[in-house]
Amino acid sequence: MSSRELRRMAAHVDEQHRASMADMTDRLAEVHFGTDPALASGRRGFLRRAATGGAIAFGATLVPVSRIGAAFAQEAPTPISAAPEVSDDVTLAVFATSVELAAVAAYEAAGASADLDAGAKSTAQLFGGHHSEHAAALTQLLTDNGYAEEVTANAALLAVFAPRIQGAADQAALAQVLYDLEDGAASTYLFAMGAFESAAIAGAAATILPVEAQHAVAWSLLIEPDLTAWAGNITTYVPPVQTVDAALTPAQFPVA
Amino acid sequence: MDFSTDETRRQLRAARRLHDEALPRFGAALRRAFDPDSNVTSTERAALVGVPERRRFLAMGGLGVAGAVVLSACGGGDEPVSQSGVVPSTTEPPEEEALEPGSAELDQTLLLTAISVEALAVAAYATAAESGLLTTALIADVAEVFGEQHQQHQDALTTTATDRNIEYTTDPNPYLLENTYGALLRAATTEGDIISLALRLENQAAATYTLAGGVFTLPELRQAALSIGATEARHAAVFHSLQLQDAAPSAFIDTVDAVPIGSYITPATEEAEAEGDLSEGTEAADPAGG
Repeated sequence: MSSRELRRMAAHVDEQHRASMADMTDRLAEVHFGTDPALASGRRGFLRRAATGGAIAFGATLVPVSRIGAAFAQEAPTPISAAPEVSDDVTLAVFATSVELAAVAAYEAAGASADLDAGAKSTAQLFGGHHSEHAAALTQLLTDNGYAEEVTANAALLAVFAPRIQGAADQAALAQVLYDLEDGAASTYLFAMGAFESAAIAGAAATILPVEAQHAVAWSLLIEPDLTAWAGNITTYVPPVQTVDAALTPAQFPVA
Repeated sequence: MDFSTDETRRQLRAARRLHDEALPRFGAALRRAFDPDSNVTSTERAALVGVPERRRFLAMGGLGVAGAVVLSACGGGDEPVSQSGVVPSTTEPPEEEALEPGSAELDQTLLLTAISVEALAVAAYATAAESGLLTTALIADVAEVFGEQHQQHQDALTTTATDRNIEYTTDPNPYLLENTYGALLRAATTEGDIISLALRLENQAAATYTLAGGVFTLPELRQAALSIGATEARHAAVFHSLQLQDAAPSAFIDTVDAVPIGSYITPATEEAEAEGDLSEGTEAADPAGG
């Protein structure tokens, strides 16, 4: 794939992403923060610490109170160590968004491949849509917290995966590429879960991570279409616990 | 249709051996990391279980680490807590109690509830295996592996509780057993019924860990919850696929599907202990109610 094609693909995804944001109606808030406007507003807060450079009680209103009990809505101070910690949350959220957008582009490329049969193309379209929703949700979260810069598809990640997609010899090989992408995304979110100081962004990531893991399972069934062979490798595709072994890093794949 | 072969079973056994060999090392690292008397710092704890510091993550070019962690930070400080698990009524959901957000009590409640959900899953898979309804060898094998993984999750969680002197029971969650899964198990008459039940249980478990991922007070605990929750979601994806559905039908895990508040296992208060309102030492219930 030429660099021009790569840029065109990424630009197309970014354009679609901007369009989807116009219709984004706080879906993420609904799935993890409930429909209570007061609760939904609680997710606005993880940048606030940076603005004040210090202690703002925000953690309590960020949990999905509707699921636990109204008593949780009361605010309780969360220890804040320093403003740079907050920027780390933002850095990770921006990175995750760029990975999601790269995944959308990767699925567009995979969906156009002649290697995938009709069923696999449908799956690619569905999963690409999921990644688009993830990117939109994360962008909404960043925007609500005052982050104004546009996040674009992670070009470094695409530069690695696009040639692999193009070079895949058959459906199983392409499924392996997409499995690696999804497993890497799940692993990345798991790392982020242990790094996010903000419960708001952690809660958002928590709703996304298991879906990336499910995507990986779907592709594993095309890597090993023979179910007996798949079962022989079951703990590879369904490990006892998710790990961070395959995590993508901002150092490897810097955000433009 | 029988997908299973001797070769598959051999591969399954080999894969399990690999994991069986890895998990004790992981458990030993955890025990060392969270021994209250070990004076291990939080940074050292993270390193022990293979989780890089955040700044290292941002700077390093690759991660050769294992981050599947069940960190026993429950209890807040380093002082051990001494509380006993209290099993709620199975028929009347307890009133929503005023749990303080960011509290050790909330962390402990989530931990104890997770243990009970894992115990329920272990019991449900065992009952399904004994039912004779799993007539497809592949499905029986998959169910056996998933049951073992739930046992591993339960063991990791109970080790955490033990290390922090949090008393627990290994009973299947009584509320969920009474109000949902017991009846479903009793009513199951086909392999498809068992798959549907397992799918529901795995989805509920995944949603519960997702919920915990936004509620636990410490990043380490959130990460631990999702290291398990992601695997439950993978289990669900397999069952979705067996039902010829999309493996990942939704873009987000919806926490509305998490276990209901009535199923929460709260740590015992001193008053409850004094009244003898304890359930420790009880035998696991038969999930099918037999």
